[in-house]
Amino acid sequence: MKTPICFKNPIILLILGGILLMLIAACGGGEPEELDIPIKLEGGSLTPGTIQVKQGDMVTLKIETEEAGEFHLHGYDVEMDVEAGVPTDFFVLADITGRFKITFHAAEEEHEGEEEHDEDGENEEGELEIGILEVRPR
Amino acid sequence: MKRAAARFAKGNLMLRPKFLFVLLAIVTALLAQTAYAHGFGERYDLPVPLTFFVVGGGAAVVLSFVLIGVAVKGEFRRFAYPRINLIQNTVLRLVLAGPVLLPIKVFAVFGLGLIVAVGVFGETRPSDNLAPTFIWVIWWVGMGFFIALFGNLWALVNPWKAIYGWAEGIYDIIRPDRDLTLGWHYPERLGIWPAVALFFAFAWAENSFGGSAEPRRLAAMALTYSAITFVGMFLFGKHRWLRHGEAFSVVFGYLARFSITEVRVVESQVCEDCGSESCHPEGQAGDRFEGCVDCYECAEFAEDVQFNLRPPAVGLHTAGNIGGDVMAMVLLMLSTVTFDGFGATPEWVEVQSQFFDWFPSLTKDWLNGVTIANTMGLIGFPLAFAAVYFTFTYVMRRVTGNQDTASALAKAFVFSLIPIALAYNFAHFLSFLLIQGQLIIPLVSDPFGFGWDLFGTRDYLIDIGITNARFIWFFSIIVIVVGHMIAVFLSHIRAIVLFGNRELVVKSQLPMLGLMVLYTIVSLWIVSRPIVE
Repeated sequence: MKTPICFKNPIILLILGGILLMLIAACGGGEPEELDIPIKLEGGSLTPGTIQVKQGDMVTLKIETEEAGEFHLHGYDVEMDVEAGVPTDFFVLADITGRFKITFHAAEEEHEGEEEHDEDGENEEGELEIGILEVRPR
Repeated sequence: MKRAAARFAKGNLMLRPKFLFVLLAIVTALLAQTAYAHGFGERYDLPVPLTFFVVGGGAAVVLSFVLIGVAVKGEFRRFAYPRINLIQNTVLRLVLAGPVLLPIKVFAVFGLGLIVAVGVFGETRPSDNLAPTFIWVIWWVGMGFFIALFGNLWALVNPWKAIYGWAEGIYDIIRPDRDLTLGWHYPERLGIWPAVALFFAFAWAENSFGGSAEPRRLAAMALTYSAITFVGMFLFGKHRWLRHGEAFSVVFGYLARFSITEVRVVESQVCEDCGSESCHPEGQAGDRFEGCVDCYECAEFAEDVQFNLRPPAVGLHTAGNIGGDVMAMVLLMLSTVTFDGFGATPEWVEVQSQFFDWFPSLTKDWLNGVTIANTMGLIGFPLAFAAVYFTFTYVMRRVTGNQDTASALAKAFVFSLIPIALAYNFAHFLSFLLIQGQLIIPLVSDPFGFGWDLFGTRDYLIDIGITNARFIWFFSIIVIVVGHMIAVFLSHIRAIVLFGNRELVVKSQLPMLGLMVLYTIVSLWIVSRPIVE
């Protein structure tokens, strides 16, 4: 095997160098920020539907909703109770990268039966997917 | 919630605003209600960015030409590779000997029994029960990875094979003159089609069946499959069924061809007599006898068995005849792996919701809009794969002027496509295995979900920060490009053995290169799409 050819050939070397540069450029940088992000729950979905932040950002989701219930940020696995019409702050230290579902669980209105309902519930306990939090690498 | 608090506490206390924020976050966590358990199989992957996609695709194309241009120039009739016999090492010999293997087999059989038991009697919520995590994450994905990299563990821990082997041992005491089988003649025409059909059923359960994470359903599937396997072995003999009908022996066997180890029997008489037509000795007539590889039935009778270390992927170079059944199985494996990822792209979810709208009245977990869409995808993908593959091999036949049919060429090259699928599979599943695989830690302490704490790990909460997006991106792109390179290399070697003539080799490899670049780009495209469920 004569491998050195790919080192003698300047074009190949150039392409490999270019690839490396592009990959370096793909990495961002910068300091973590404190972000206030207003989000609104209307008709079963969030506006904006996808919230994009960078790793390490200290995020305050300023929630506005027309329905009482519970916000659940998957992955990070934290919840926040919200009241209809009452603005609520939901703090997230976005220290882990990924794409995380935000689901909403409407407040129960005095159910007759016990909690045995979730047996056949396809969605885990009637959760509704309303949006996504994307934490991208810095 | 405990974990959330712990993670916040890890924050750098020197950073003032961050410290304040940590306090706020802890307040949030305290205000929050009890945490939900993690949903089973949830994924948090960030899609690979466009730059990585473009760079990966470009690298695949450029490096292919570099490889094809400079790497392989020899002309040879038979492909040989270096091997190191590990069994010559006495320590290893002891480790691999019976007394050590027996507990492993007992453990595997116990595992099967436990999975069925937790499936039948355990909690029904998938994330509270050992069965879904064990079957889908640890066994199917995790063990698949292990086998593809290190060697055919399944041949060792296959619980059906172990149980039947013990039954044979007992029967041998009662009736030493007979084997524990009805000894029906296995129709040669059937080939490995039973395994293909069973693997399709398994792939359907994995990709189309809404209840595939439900413990009761999994127990039923495991029991049904056990029954089929035992009946098959009883009718046709243990090894015959394992080779033709036991889907996982076949599938894991193909994955193991990529791995760095092999089991080789070097007694020519044993290789010819041990009874399997697919155990032809390696090499062609007139060549020096090199033994038969990964024929476990032969290994059972042989005195001289080698357990060899070898370069990765060389096992995918097969000199023997490959039938239509084997090609069908490989194409089915490739296309179901691809469909597994494609089925979670936003584009496919669009199709699913369309089907959902068309069939609003179908709500069973095995029959609804989504299962219909995915079933069609699962049938359509292998057919489309085959059509594309045959088109390229037809072009190959035309440009080389070869007398073989396009389908004969397709059979000859089909194993060289496996590295691309394997690489994609690694890229697609690594973070899933690292994150969801952690669920096994609490589940082994409480397999039934009854609140036991056998090993004191019941309260372990999975750490989703174990990996990060940038690592996964680099890993995905590098592994897909490397897989592509290996595939190009294997196909090239195959062409040298097949055509012999340098000019024909190069001509034949251009369409093949086109096909492989296309396949790799499809893999890259899928990992660059968000995962939607």
